[in-house]
Amino acid sequence: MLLMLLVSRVQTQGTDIQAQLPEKDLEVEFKTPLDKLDRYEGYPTVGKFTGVFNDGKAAPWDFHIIDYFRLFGAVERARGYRPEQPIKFSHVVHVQKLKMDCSYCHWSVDKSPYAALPSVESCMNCHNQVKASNKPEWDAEIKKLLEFYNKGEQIPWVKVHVQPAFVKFNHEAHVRGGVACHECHGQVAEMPVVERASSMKMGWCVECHRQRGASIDCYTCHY
Amino acid sequence: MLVNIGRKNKEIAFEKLSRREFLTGVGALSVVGCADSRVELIYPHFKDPEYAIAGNSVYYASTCGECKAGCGVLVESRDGRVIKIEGNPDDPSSRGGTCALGQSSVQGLYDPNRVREPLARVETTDEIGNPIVAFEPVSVNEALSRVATAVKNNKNRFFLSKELDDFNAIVLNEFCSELGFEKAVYEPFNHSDIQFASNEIFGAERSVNYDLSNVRFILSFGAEFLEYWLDPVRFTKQWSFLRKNGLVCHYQIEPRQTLTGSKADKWIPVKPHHELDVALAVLKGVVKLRAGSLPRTIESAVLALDEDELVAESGVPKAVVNDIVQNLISGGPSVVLGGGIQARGTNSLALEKVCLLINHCLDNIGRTVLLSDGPHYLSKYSDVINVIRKIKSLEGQGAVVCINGSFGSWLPSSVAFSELNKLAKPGLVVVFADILDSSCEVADIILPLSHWLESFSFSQKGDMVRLTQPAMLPLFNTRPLSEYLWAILKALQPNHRYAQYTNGHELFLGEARKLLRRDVTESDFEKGFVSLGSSRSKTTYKIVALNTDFLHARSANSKQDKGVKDGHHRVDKTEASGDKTIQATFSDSKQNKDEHHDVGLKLIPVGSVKSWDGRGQNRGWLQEMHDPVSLVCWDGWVELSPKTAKKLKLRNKDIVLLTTRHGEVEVQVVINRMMLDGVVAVPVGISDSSKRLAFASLVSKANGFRLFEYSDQGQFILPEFTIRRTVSFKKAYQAQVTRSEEGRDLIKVKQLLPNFGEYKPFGEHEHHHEIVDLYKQREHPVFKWGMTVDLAACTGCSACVVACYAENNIPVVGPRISAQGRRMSWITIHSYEKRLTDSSLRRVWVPLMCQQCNNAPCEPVCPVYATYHNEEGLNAMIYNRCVGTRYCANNCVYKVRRFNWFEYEFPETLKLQLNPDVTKRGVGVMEKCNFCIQRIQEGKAKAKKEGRLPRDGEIKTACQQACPADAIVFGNLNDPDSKVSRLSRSDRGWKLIDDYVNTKPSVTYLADIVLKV
Repeated sequence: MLLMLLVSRVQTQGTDIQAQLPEKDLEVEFKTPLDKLDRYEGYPTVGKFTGVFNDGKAAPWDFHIIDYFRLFGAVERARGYRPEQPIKFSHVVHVQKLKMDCSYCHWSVDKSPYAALPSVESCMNCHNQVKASNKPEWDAEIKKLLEFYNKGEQIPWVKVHVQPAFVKFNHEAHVRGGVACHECHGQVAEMPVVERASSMKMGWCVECHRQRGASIDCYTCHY
Repeated sequence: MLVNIGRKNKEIAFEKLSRREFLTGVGALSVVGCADSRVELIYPHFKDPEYAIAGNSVYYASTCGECKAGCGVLVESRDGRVIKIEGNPDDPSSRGGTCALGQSSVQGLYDPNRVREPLARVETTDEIGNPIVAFEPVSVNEALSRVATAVKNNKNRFFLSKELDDFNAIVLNEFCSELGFEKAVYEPFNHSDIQFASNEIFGAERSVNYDLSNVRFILSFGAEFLEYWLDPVRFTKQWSFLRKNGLVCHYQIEPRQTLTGSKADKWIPVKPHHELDVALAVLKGVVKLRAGSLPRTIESAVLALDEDELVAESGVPKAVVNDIVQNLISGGPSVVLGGGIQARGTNSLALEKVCLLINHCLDNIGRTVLLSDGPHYLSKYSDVINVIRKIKSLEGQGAVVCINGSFGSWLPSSVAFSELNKLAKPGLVVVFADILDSSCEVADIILPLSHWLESFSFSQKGDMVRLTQPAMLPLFNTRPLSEYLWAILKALQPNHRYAQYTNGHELFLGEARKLLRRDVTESDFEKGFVSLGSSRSKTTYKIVALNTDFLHARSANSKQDKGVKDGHHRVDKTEASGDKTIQATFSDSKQNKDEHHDVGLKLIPVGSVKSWDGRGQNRGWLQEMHDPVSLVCWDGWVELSPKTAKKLKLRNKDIVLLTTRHGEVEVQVVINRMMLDGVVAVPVGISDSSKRLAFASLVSKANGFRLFEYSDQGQFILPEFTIRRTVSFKKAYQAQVTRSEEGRDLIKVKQLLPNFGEYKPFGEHEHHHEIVDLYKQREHPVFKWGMTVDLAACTGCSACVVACYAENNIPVVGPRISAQGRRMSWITIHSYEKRLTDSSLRRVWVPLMCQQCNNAPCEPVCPVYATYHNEEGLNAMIYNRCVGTRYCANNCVYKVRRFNWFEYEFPETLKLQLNPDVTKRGVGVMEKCNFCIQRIQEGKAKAKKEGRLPRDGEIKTACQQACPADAIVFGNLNDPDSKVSRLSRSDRGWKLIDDYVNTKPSVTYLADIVLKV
C-alpha cells in the first residue's frame, strides 16, 4: 500500500499539474535537476518499505482460519496447502539434485527470528551463468527470474507457512536448539511445489514443546 | 527479507463496488467459494543489505533534533523503518535519557500531515464566491526555480526562522548574508535572555550552560530545568543522582508550581514577574557578605537597593530571602538559575543578569556555570517585528519572505501574520515546513523539510560536536533546509564556494570538516559525537563595567504593568445571559472597587511537557498523554487557585471563555492548589487548531499564544483579560478525580533532616489487618521479574508514557473516547498531594503501571484463563485467549487494565512505526503492561545463545530506558545482588496499597525525599 502511495505521488507530478500553474518566466533554471543528484549518498542502504511489517490490523478470526475454510469446503489450508508461486521454483532440482544447503538461500535462519528468502541478486549469483536448462518448461521459469532482475523488481512469493500476528515464532532459537528444518517443514527437498507439511496449529507446537521439555508458558509465543 | 506482507482482502475491494457490481461479484464468488481469499505475499529484498538482518534491529547513533539541547539517541530501525528512539547510554551528556518530546519524534516522522512534496498555492473560489486556498504539488525544480527567480527579481528579502541546529544555522547565515536576506531567528521558548545577558556582562559572545553534577544548593527563579529549560535531560540526570541520595537542596521561586517546582524542597510562590525583586534582594544579601567581588559601580548600586521595599512587592517573606542567602553562602557548591516561561516578563533580561552576578559573587562561574565561546545564532523578537513592519511598509513593491517555523501559531494577532501573503505581493512567500501547520496558510510555495531522522547535521555543544545521521531514506520527496538553501544559492551565485559541492551530503561533509579540521569518519557516526578537547571551554572571564539601569528594571516594569497591577477585578452578573454567566473583568479605573479588589488577578503563560511551544501538537501520543500538572488531555485549560476560583464563582471542569484584546481561548477550568492566589495560568502551545492537521484540529480554541503580546525582547506582556463561563460542546476531562489520599496513607514521603543525616519517616504506616494467605505462594525457579520506581527521582516528565506508547503499539483513541476515560496508556503519571506540615503541601508523582501482583485479583476471575501468573512472576495477559468479559479490569485494584472498546485504526503512515515484535490488539481484548515481555524474551534468547543467564541491567523495559531520572529499575528479584533486589529492600521501599488489599505487587515504590528546610 505504501508503494501505491509512492506511485500516486509520481503520477501527480505529471505534466497536467504544471499546466494548472500560472505561466511564469523562470529566469533561474536548475540545470542539474535536484531530482537527478545523488541525494542518498551516505544514507542507509536498506530500502524504503522493506521488512517485517506490522500492518496494525488484528484479525481475531485469524485464529480460526483453518476451521472456517474447512466449514466452507474450501482449500484446506492446514496440511497440504500448496499455493501457486509466481515462479515455479523447484526444491527438488536445487536441493535434491544440486545438493544446495537450506541456509545458503535461507541465510538468516540461525541469526534472526525470520528465515530469510533469498534476494533476487542472490538467485542471480548462479543464474547469471545458468540461463538455460535441458527442459523447456524450466527455461520459461528462469526467464521469469531474469525479467524480475532486469526490471529491478522484488518477487512476490506467496507465503506457505502462515502464522497469525499474535504468534511469535523464533527460527533462530529453534535451529540453535537442534530442531531440524524438516521437522516442521517436511521433506521440502522432495517437493516440486512447496506445501505445508504440518498443521502448525497450537496443539502441534505444544506437543513438541512438551516432548522436548521446552517452556509451554503462553508468554513463550503470545505477546 | 520479508517485505510488505500485504493481504488481498476482498472486503476492501467491495467498498468501491456499486450495488450491481457487488451482486455480480457475489454470483461469481459463490462458484469460487472462499478459495484463498487471504493470500499473504512475501517480498524478499532485491539486494541483501550488508548489515541488516530481517527481524533484527539496527541502531543508529544520532542526535535528537527536537530542541536545541540535542541529546544523544540511538535510533532503532527495523528493515529500513525507524520504529523507536532510545537514549544513547554512551552519550556523555544525556547518558541514555530522553524526554517525552524526543520519544515522540517518530510520530513527527510518520506524521500523516507531513508535507510530502513541494506545493504551490492555488486560489480559487467556491460557488458563492468565498476564496479557497489549496495547495497543488509541483516538482522540486519547478518550485526552486520559482523561488530563485523571485529572489533575483526582488530586492526586499526576508527570512524568519526558528532556532536551528548549527549546520543549518551556518548555511542559513551564509545564505542570508550572500543574498542580502534580512534574518530574524526566534522561538517563544528560547533562551535568548541568558545569552544576551552574558553578552552584556562578559562583553563578548559567550554561551552559558550549567553543570549540576556536583551542586549542593539550587536556587531557581522559575527555570523549569527538569522539563524544557535549556538542557532538561542532562539536568535531570545530574539532579536525580543527587536527589536520590538526598544530597541536593533545591528552592524554586515561581507563581505557579511547575513539575520542577514540585520536586523542590521549598517551593516559594512569588507574584508574577516579581522574581527579579527577590533576586535583587538575594544579590544584595550575597554582596553584603562577599564584598569586593563585583565591580565597584555595580556593588554600590546594589547596596543602595532597599531590600524591604523589594521583598514587600514580591510577596516573599524577608526571612525566606535571608534563609536563601544563608544557604547560598554556606551550603556547598551552588547554582542560581533564572528564566522559564513564567518568569519571561519584560524584566527577565535583568533577572538573568542578576542571576549571573549572584553566580559570580558565589564563585560559581567555571564550576557550576559553564561558559564557552562561539556564536549562538539568536536574534531578538524585535527583529521579527521589524521584518513584518518592513514588509507592511513596502506598499506593493513585493518581497521574498522565507519562513521556517510555526510563526503562524506563535505570533500575536496584532502582528497580522495571516496577511503576509497579500503584503508580500507581487513577491513570493516561501514556507519551509515539515507539517501543514498554520504557517503554511500564507505560503505561495511550500518546500517540504526532511525530518531530523532523515538528514545529516551537526551541532556544537560545549566541547563536543554532535552528529545527526539519517536512520532511513526519506519517506517522501523531502530535503533538509540546508540543501534547499544551498541549491538556491548555487543557482544565483555560481561562483560561491558552495558551488563546489555537488550535493547536500558533500555540503555537510565540507562544513563539518571546517569545524573539526578533519573529515568526519564512520566511527564518529558510530559514536554520535566528536570531542573537540577541553581547550575550547574558557574559565577566565571578566565582568565589564555595566550600566546599572537593569537593577531598576523592576520599577520600569511596574509602570508598564501598572494597568494590571492596580487593576482589580469586578464580578458582575451580566443580566442578558442570565445567572449562569459570570464575568470578571479588569480595568484601570478605581471607581469600580468592590470587596474583591485585593485579589489583583494576573494572567500568566505556563508551558507543558505535552507540546512545548506547539511543536508536538500533531502527535497523537503527546495530545493523548495528560499534562501531569493539570491532568488534562486533548485540550487546553486555565488554572486557578481554589480561592481565586471561589471569587470568580468558577468550579473545576467549568468551560470558560478567556478573552484578552489579542485573542481568546475556550478551555476548561482546573483548580490547582499549588499556585498563588490571584494568578490565572494558561498553557501556551497546546495546539494551533490548524484545520489541515489531523490531530491538532481535534483541539480547538486552545492556543494560549493567542492571548499574549510580546515585548521587544520576546518576553510576555501580561494582558488584561476577561474570564466567563460559557456553554460549549467541549467535554471537560481530567485524568484523576482527586489528588487527595482520602485519609489513607497511600504515598510515602520521607523527610530528611537538613544535616543530610538521619531519616525521619513521615507517617508511620500501620498494618490494618493480619495478613493471611489462603493460597500457597507460587514458586519462581529462575526469574522473578520485578521493578522499583523511585518517587524521589520521578519528575512526572512523562517520557515513560510516550516510550510505552511507542514500544507497545498502543493506539491513540482521540478526544471523545479519552473523555470517557478509555485511554489505552499502559503507564500513567498519577499524582497525589501529601500534607507535610500545616503550611506545606507536597505533590508526588506516581508512575502507575500493572503491578504484576503475586496475589493478583484479576487472575482468579478470568473465565478463560487468558490472564494467569507465570513462573517468572509475570501476570500474563494472552490476547488470543481473551474473550472480553472485562471481569479482570473490574477486579483490578490499581485500575491499570485497558479494554479495546473499538477497533482502533492506525493512520496510513503511522503504521510504519508499529513494533513488529508486539501484537496489535483487536476489538474486545483486554491489554495491560507486561513489563515489555518482548524485550524480556529477546534478552533471554540472546543470553541463551551465549550460554548464560541475562545479566543484571541487560534487559530494560521501554519506560526504564526512556527515564531521564533513572527512577525506574527493572530486573530479577530472585538474584539477591541485582540492583532491583537491593533497591526493593531499601528502607524507603513500600508496595502500593499492599497493606490494605494484600496483592503482593512486584513493583516496589521508593518514598519521595524532601529536605526539612
